[in-house]
Amino acid sequence: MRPIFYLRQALDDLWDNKVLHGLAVSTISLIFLLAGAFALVFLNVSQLMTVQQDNVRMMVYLKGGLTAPDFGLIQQAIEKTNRVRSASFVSKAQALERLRESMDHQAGLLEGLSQNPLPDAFEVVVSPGSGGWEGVKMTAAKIEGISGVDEANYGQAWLEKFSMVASLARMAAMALGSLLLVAALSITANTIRLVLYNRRDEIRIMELVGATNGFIRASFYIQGMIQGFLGGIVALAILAVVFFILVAGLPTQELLGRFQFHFIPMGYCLLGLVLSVAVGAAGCHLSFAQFHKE
Amino acid sequence: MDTQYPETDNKSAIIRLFHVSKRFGAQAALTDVNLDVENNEFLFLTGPSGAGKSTLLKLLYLADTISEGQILLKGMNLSRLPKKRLPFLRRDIGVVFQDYKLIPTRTVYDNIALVLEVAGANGKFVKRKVSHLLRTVDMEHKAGAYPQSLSGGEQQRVAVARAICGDPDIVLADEPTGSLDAESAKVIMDLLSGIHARGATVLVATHDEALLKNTRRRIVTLKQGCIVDQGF
Ligand SMILES: Nc1ncnc2c1ncn2[C@@H]1O[C@H](COP(=O)(O)OP(=O)(O)O)[C@@H](O)[C@H]1O
Ligand SMILES: [Mg+2]
Repeated sequence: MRPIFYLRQALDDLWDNKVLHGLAVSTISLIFLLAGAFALVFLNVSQLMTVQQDNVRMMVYLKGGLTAPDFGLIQQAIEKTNRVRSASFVSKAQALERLRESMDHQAGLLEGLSQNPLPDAFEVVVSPGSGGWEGVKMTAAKIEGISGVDEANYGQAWLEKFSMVASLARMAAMALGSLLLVAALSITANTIRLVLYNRRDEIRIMELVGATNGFIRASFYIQGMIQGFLGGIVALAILAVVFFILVAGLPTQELLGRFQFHFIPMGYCLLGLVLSVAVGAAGCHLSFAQFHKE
Repeated sequence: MDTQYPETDNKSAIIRLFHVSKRFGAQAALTDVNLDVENNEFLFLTGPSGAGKSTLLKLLYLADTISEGQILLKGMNLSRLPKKRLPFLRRDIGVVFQDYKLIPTRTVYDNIALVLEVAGANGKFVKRKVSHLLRTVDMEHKAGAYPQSLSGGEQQRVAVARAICGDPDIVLADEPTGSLDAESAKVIMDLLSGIHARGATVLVATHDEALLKNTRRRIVTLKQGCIVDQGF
C-alpha cells in the first residue's frame, strides 16, 4: 500500500505543479542533451581515430646515394619489422611522375627542374592490431633505425596534435560535465523546494498527526526522481532522433569509407539515465536539508 | 520512568507536569505549572484569553519545547524524547486544533484517512474505519467535499473525527466549541465524551462558560500562565 500511496501523492504533486515541473524537466533535459551531444561527438571522433588503424599507410623516405642492392636489403629489413604487412618501392622517378599527374595543369612548373628533388621511398602498410597508434609509433622508430632510411612519416605531427586536443577536450568535458551536473542538481533542488514551500502547512499537519520524516519525504523523492528520469529520457530521445536523421542524410560512404557513426552505447545511455534519476534524488535531499534549517 | 522529578509517586497519572515554564522571549506564557492528569480523566482547562491554555496543550502535543521543568507523558520525559520517537508518540495523541488545521487540498475523507495512512494502516482497514467515523460525526454525505465548502461546525466535526480515528490514549481539544452555536457545540462535546467513555484521557481547553456549568469534571483555571484554581 505504502508505495502506491507515495506514488499517487508524487503524481498528484507533479500534476498540481505541472508548469514548474515542466520547466525543470525541460532545463534538465537541455543540460543532459548538451552533455549527451558532447559525449556523442567525442565517442565518434575517437572511434574514427581507432577504426582505420588496422591499415596505416606509412611513407619511408630513404637517404640519397643508395644503389639497387641497398634497396633490396632495406626492403627486407622493413618487411621483417614487427606489424609491417607490405612494403613496395617507389623510386624518385615514380614519385615525380605521380606528382606530375596530381598537379595536372600546373605540371609545367616541374619542367624547369634540372634534377629530381624527390627521395626514393618505400610505401609501407602497417597493421597495428591491438597496439594502436603506440604500435605504429614503435614500428616507425624501428624502421628509422634501419641504415639508409631517412625518415618514416605516417602523419604523426597531425596525430600528436589531435591526441593533445583530444585529452584537452576530455578534461574540458569533465569540467563541463561537473558544471552541468551541479546545474541540474540545483534546478531539481529549487523545484522541490518550491513544492515543499507550497505544501508547508500540509507537511506541518502531517508531522502533527504522527508522520515520520520518511513518510513525508518519500513522495518528494519520487517526484525528484521522476523529474530527473523525464529530463534524462527526453534528452536521450532528442539526441537519438537528431543523430539518426543527421547520419542518414550524411554521405558517410564518400567521406569516411568504411567508418560508420555510432550512437552512444546502450550501457552509457542507461548510465546517463541512472545519473539523471540520482540527480533528482540528490536535489531533493538538498532541498530537505534547506527546508529543515528554516 | 523518570525518578528524578516526580514529587509524588502517582502511578495512575498519564500526564504529569513538574514546574513547567514556557517563555516566548521575555513574555512568560506559563510559569511553574504543576499538574497531574489521571488516566481516563476528562479535564477542562480554562482561563481568560492569553492565560496559556493553548501553550500548555502545544507542549503536550510536542509542537513546542519547554523552557523549564519537565513533562512526563505516559511515563516518557518529553525533554529527553529522541527525535525519532516523536512521530510515534504523536500517534497516541489526538488533537483538535483551535483552527481545525484541515488540509485544504484533501477531501474530508482523505483528511481523516491521512492519520491512519501515516501510521501504515492497510487500505481495507482505513476504508472501514473512516466510513465508520464519518457516520459517527454525521458527515458521511460530505466525504468527498473539501474543507472550505464546510460550515464551522462541520469542519470541527471532521477535526474531531481526525483526532479520534487513530484510537489515541490522549485527546487534546483546543476551544473545540469556540465558534459554534449551542447545538453544534453539544454534538462536539458528546463526541469527546464518547471517546472518553471508551477509555481515552481527554483535555479540553475552553473559555466557554456554558460548557463548565453543571459539569462534574475537574476544572483547572489558568491566569497569566499560572494555575490559580483547580477543583470540581
Ligand atoms: N508563538 C508565540 N510567540 C509569542 N508569544 C506567544 C506565542 N504563543 C503564545 N504566546 C503568548 O503566550 C501567552 C499565552 O498564549 P495562549 O497559550 O495562546 O493563551 P490562551 O490559549 O489561553 O488564550 C499570550 O500572552 C500569548 O501572546
Ligand atoms: Mg488559545
